Amino acid sequence: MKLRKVSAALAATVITAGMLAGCSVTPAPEEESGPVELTFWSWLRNTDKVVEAFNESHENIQVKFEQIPGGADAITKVVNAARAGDAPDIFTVDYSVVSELATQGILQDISDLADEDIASSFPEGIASLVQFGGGTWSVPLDAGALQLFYRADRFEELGIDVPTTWDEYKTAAAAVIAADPNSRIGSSQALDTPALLSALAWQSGAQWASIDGEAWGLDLADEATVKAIDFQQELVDEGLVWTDPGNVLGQKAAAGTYLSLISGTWQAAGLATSFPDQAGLWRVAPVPTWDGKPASAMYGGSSYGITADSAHREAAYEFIKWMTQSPESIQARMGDGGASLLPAATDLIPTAAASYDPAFYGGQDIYAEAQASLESINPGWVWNPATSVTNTALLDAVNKWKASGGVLSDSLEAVTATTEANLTSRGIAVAD
Amino acid sequence: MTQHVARPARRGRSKQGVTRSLQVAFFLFPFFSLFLLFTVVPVVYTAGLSLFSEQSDGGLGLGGTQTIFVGFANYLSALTSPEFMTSFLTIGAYCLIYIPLLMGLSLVLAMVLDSLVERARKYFQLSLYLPNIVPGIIASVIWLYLYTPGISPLTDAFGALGLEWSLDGQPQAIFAVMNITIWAHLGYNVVLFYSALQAVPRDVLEAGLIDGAGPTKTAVSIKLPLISGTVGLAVLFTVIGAVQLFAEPFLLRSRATSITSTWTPNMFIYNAAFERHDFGLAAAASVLFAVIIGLASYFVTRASNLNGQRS
Repeated sequence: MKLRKVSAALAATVITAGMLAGCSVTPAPEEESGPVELTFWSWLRNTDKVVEAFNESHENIQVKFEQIPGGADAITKVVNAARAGDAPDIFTVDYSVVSELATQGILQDISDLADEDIASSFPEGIASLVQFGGGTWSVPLDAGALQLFYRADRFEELGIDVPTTWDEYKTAAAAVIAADPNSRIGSSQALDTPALLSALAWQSGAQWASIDGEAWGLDLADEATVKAIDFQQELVDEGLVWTDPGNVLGQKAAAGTYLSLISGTWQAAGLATSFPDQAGLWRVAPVPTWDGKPASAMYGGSSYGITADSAHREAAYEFIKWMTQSPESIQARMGDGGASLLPAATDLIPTAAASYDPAFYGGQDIYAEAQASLESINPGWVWNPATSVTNTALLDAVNKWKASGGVLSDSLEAVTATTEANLTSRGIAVAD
Repeated sequence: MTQHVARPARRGRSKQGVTRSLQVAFFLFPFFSLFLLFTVVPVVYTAGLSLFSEQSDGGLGLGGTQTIFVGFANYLSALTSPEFMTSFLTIGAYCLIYIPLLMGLSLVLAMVLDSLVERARKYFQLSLYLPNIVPGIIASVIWLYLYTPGISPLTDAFGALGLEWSLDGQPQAIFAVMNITIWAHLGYNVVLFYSALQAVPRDVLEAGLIDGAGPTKTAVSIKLPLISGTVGLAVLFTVIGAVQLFAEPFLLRSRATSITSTWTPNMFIYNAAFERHDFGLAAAASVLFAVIIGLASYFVTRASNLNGQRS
């Protein structure tokens, strides 16, 4: 009997302790004496140097930086932290998830702080990614403007001209195989990477999401997207490109049998790091278009947002403004020459260009190419607030197509429907 | 409770009794506190979470979300979700093949180990158990490379044998995942069964030998029934573990085209929580899943109890 009583008392104590531990006591706001302390999470390279430079030059604001893993994990981490109540003041957010986080209540509207600066410093095509629905949700840092990276020496060796249209790209692909059956002009990576697939549809003139008054309009199956995806499928069906996964493609690039890739400006430094022995052999060209006139899109690129719970929005915006619109921050970030960041603020592009040594590209002025691409980005693109669902549905559709064949672009309607269903189930209005 | 024993002086007994209870409590406290904090509290919290949903106010949804009480709507939504139901079919097919295969293989290996020479026995015990200490995710990443044509020696060997290597299609995906999980869990079960076999009294085996039982007859008719309790326990643990399959298919998604993002129930729950941001649905699905696992455990225990009674 005694044992039972003791156990019962024990259980009661522990449960109570457990429940009390669950409640967190919110500290009363103290009067700030001394510099404002901000917490900042990011995964971008050299952010620690940027923060150091800021802390040295600003006495009234001190930033505490924490490195977090990149990719989808970063969003999960921030969302979980926001739910737990200890989200950072500022964090890096990919353009594709800005609307997603805004509808989750994680980002706060900073129109009163940022609108003027955004209008004066950033091109319109980028501003629409962070300003929508009557609010401003983050501030752009860089743009992953689409570019074609290619092995100029191999192109010359095989007698291939740099393609300027997609038709020329297809012809060039066939010519590569004719000249060297063991090489291919490119790969089908776009099909395995929803973000890159979105960029190709964007470049083709698609607008997957739009805001119709007080509702979101979604259409992934428009003509432009179908054209872009059918073209990618053709390349695969006719055996014109490699269809291997990323790590095998790396091997082929090292061996010189994978001749070009389409990616964002940030990839420039990545190639130099991965294939140092191929220095001087790569060049950059504008991404091929349908009609030969410049048209581009964005693949990757980050912005900075302020979390809804942050108690220091003015100080946080001052830090963000310094990071995105001041030459000192670009110099701090790119000082070691190991990154090829393309600032979205056009005034900062010369500073970035000065910090980057394009020896890997034979001294080609890759920033001039990048700026041209940035200026030809199709305006008006908006990311829908369920981009994770869209991306997962796209991957599932591609996998299904790989397994059972058919026409990939036929599944775009289903992807649209899945995304719309998710939005509706979250209580967000979807236009018919 | 009737007292037949004469009680000693009341004061002395209470002191002894209290000390005794305190000692027991001291040893039980760590387990109970951790159990309550990390098992009971989260389960209760999840059950609570499953009754709510985060909804935007209509419109563009840029004003954030509110948590509203929806009762059993999340449960209904999980039960009518075709992906969730299909995931149970997939895991059912997986378990139907995996559990008998794993248990059978472990038993055979344990029996073989039992009859081996001492030195060989130690070597095989260790080498069979080693895969078990590799964390599931790391094992999956290694096997991911082994499943990648162009990098893996295995796929090249397949090609050399004239077979086509392809992970497209549901059966291939199930076997690919099963390969990893059997590789990882075989050692554990072999060691478990081998230890149980050590408890088999030698005189029973000798009696069998005298009666003319060969090695297979000994294994099947004498050893197996005597370790049936352990086998029943191992089946129970394997069922509970196998049904919760997550890490291996999650990482193999990029190679096996039939593995969707909601291939197993746990993947569905993960997808609902972290990709669709629907924690209410994930919580409801988790509760339903736990109930189903509970039922499965109940039936497995009953079946092994019946077996035990029969022998």
